[in-house]
Amino acid sequence: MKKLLTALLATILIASGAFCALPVAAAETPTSRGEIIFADVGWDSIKLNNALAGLIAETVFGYTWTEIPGSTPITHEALINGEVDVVMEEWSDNIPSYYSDLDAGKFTELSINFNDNYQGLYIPQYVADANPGLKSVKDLKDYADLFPDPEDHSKGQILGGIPGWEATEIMAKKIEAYGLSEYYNYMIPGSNAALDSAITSAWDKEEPIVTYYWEPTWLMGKYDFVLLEDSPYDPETYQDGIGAYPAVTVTVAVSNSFYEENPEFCAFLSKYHTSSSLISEGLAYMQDNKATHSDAAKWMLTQHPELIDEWLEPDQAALLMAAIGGDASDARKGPENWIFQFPLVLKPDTEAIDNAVRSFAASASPVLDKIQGGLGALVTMFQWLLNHIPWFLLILLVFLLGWFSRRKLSSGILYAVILTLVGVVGLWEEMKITLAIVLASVFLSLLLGIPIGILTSYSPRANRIMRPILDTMQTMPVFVYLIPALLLFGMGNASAVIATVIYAIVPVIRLTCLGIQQVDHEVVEAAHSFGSTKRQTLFKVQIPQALPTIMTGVNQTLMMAMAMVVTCSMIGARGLGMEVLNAVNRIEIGRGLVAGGCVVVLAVILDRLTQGWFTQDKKSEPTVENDTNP
Amino acid sequence: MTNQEKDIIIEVQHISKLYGMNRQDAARMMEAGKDKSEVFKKTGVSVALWDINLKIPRGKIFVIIGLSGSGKSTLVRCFNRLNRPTSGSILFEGRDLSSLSKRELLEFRRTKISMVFQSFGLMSHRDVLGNVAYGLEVKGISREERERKAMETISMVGLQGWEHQSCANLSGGMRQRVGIARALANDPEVLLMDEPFSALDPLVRKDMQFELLQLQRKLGKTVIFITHDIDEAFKLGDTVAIMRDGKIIQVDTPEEMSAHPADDYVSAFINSADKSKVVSVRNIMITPSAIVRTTDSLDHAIRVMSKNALSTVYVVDDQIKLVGILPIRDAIQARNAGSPMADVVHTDLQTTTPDALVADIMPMAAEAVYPIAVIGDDQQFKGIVTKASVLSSLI
Repeated sequence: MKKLLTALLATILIASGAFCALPVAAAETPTSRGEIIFADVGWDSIKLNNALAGLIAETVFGYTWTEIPGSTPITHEALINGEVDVVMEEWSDNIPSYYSDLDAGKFTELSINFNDNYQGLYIPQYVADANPGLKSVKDLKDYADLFPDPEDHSKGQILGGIPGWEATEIMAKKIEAYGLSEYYNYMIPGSNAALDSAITSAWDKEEPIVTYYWEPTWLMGKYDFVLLEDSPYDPETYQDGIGAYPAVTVTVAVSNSFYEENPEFCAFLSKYHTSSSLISEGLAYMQDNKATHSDAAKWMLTQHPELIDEWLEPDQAALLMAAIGGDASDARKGPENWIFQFPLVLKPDTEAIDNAVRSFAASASPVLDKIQGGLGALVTMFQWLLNHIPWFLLILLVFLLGWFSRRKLSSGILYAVILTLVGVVGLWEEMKITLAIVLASVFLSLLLGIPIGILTSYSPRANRIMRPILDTMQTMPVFVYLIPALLLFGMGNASAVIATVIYAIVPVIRLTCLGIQQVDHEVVEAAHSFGSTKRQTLFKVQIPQALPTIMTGVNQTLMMAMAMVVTCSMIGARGLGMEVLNAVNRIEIGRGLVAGGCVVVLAVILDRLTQGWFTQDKKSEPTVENDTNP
Repeated sequence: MTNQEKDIIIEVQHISKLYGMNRQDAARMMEAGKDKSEVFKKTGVSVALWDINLKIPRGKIFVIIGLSGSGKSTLVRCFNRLNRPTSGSILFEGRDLSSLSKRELLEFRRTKISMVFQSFGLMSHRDVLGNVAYGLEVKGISREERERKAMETISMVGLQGWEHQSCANLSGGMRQRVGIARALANDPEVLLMDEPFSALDPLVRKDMQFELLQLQRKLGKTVIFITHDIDEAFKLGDTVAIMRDGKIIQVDTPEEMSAHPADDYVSAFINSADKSKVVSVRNIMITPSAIVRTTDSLDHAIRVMSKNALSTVYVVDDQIKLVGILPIRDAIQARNAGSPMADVVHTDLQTTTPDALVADIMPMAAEAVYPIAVIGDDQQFKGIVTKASVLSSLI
């Protein structure tokens, strides 16, 4: 068997070696000028700009190009470090350090891509039609009932921008300055994807929504939204939140090293200029024709040949025209490629899945809203509980629990001190919010997980069915179900709890099952031999005997719930996670460390306290069950 | 004998238990008289029990003996239906157990029959009282009542004062006492004991056997006792059944079985019963209740003897090597005469080693004036063997 395997392996190696030689030799022939790395910040307009510039780089200048994904602050840092060559859309006002970095010469700004864009508070057209009185930001005061906050029925909800963006902070000040905070809660969704799905979800259900957004974006191109009026932009008062947002200057920037080494291409980029409407046109073409960004780029250039003359020298323009017109077949597709590229690709109809989920979300919304309300209420209940414990009492409680569970005075003191530190760094409120979400998620996980674990321990068939499901739950990337959860259960605590439960319930199911299966066979037999019913055997013998293992599962579930804190903030759960997210998005390393440290403190305390009871349980004298049978 | 036959509590009729898919073929092969291992090879069916017929008299100890794998544990679990026989029936006081409904079965287990397990089967999350009261608890008896009853059985097995201890704190012998108390607390008619003493060391086992006999005589319960030890079987059993390969070979009283073994297998089994040939001194030696050192004064030696109510005491040196024995009469004389201890210590002792067989020291024991001293390899004093313990080990 082993010999056969080695022989097989050797054959594969030799064969692939032989084939490898061919394409390597072939790739050398065209004049290669290296690879340009564009930043891909995630939204469609920058991808379209990348495709436009990339197409020209390829056909006119002989480069190859690629994109590196990352958030706005990360790609900005990468640009400064020279890891990214070109950023086609630097949203200068949304990057706190943009102008100081530019002045310091850390990167090179080549041109203004566009500066005719809008941002501000938007409402859907159907809301505008139904409420002709709602025209400006100031009018919102009278319409708070129209946009109820699902987690706080006394107020309305305004959806904010992306954590870390300048515009997001300005919006918070604006709400304050216009006296809207009395009527509205300002909800910051944790990520662009979360905000998009909240808007999409509202649109599908034709529900009222008021949200910060910006153009040009596919979302604003696709859906009919109305920008609420504001007093004109005034640089004096803008920082206090009064007056409209200015149009953000979106620039094309390159790294310093790229600028020095590629003067010809940079000459082209310094002439590069689009407009909000032009980009929106391209994005709409993509959306309507299911076209790729590259297709849309070609289409735009054929539609607007004046751009080519504007951007390029005549001889260069001729090269580009020839490439677009001739539609040269992709040189990379050689005859031998079926060996290295998978030859048969059947794309699953993912769009049908999208539509199914979205129409389900719209049609089942009465039920889903109830679930959302219930989960929200659960978190609120824990929050209420924590809010009614004075800070010194909570610290005292942790001290006493630590002391008694670990049987060491020093442990109690240590836990109390590190918990006090959380308060000292000013994150006590955030810590309580996070704790409430974690406790609610763990509570729900145990409520569901322990019975499922018991069931799977009894039935080998249930076990066989559950195993792949549990594997999937543990390994499926969280974001894959985070966004559907958002569509179905809205933004904030409800979705956060659901995502956390999906991720954290697995160990308690597994270890409950294992614990019960591992109970000494003779002990279970003894229980049967005395005429115990199944229920008596379960509750009087199997569960108590399996308790140490089950408690290990509870502990692990708690830890995994803690691990989800930051992820959950990306769908709008507040607390320590949001603090981390904010810090990371603004590259505030110190703030991130402090908030992250608090997450660790909370996790360590929860871990030690739950472990403590479990070890104590084992040593202490067991108590006699005092209930009689039903 | 005839009286017993009239009062049969359990009657086993043609019980078989087969494990596997192809049970019908296997049954046909067994009927044709094929060997158990041959059947397994051909059909993949393992025959745990085959055509068992037994009549178990009320109020007696009925011992089932066999080597491991002979099916005795499978059989005993058929009596409380932890196992269901593939075919045949078991009549308990004339009632077929396989006809019991779920509820009747629970009632049967709660009132008529209870079980003691080889590795005790105790619930480590409960204390002694909680374990003993378990059977009463599942019956739905009030806490007060069941604890009173449990306390009674706890004191019956000699564990009073331990009732609130965790089972983890008990020795093996004490744990099995808990197991027995738990089984007795329900006041069952039949006590099933599945090799209850196999996990205990020989001395404790002997005590437990003795106590079980006493308890059984006092309470008059029917005991079905499983063992692989023929001595235990003969010591306890009013009736003994020998099993081999899932079949019963012979059922008889110990006397009858010794006199008329049914076949060579039975007689080989019985021959292994002569204990003195297998039991070593280690198993029967005891630790002397007191020793003195050569450096101690005679006054001290006399005090030690009087305190422990001994007429002699063993004298050891600093390395606990045996020097000799000091009778109290000689010690008092020497003290009065003012002579040192060394003058009066008797050094001409009978000694043996822990690994010597009891049979080998029998002649020595018959003649010995004092108990025989047991000396280890390193000349260290390990213990003593009395005449009484040599003789009693043969029972």
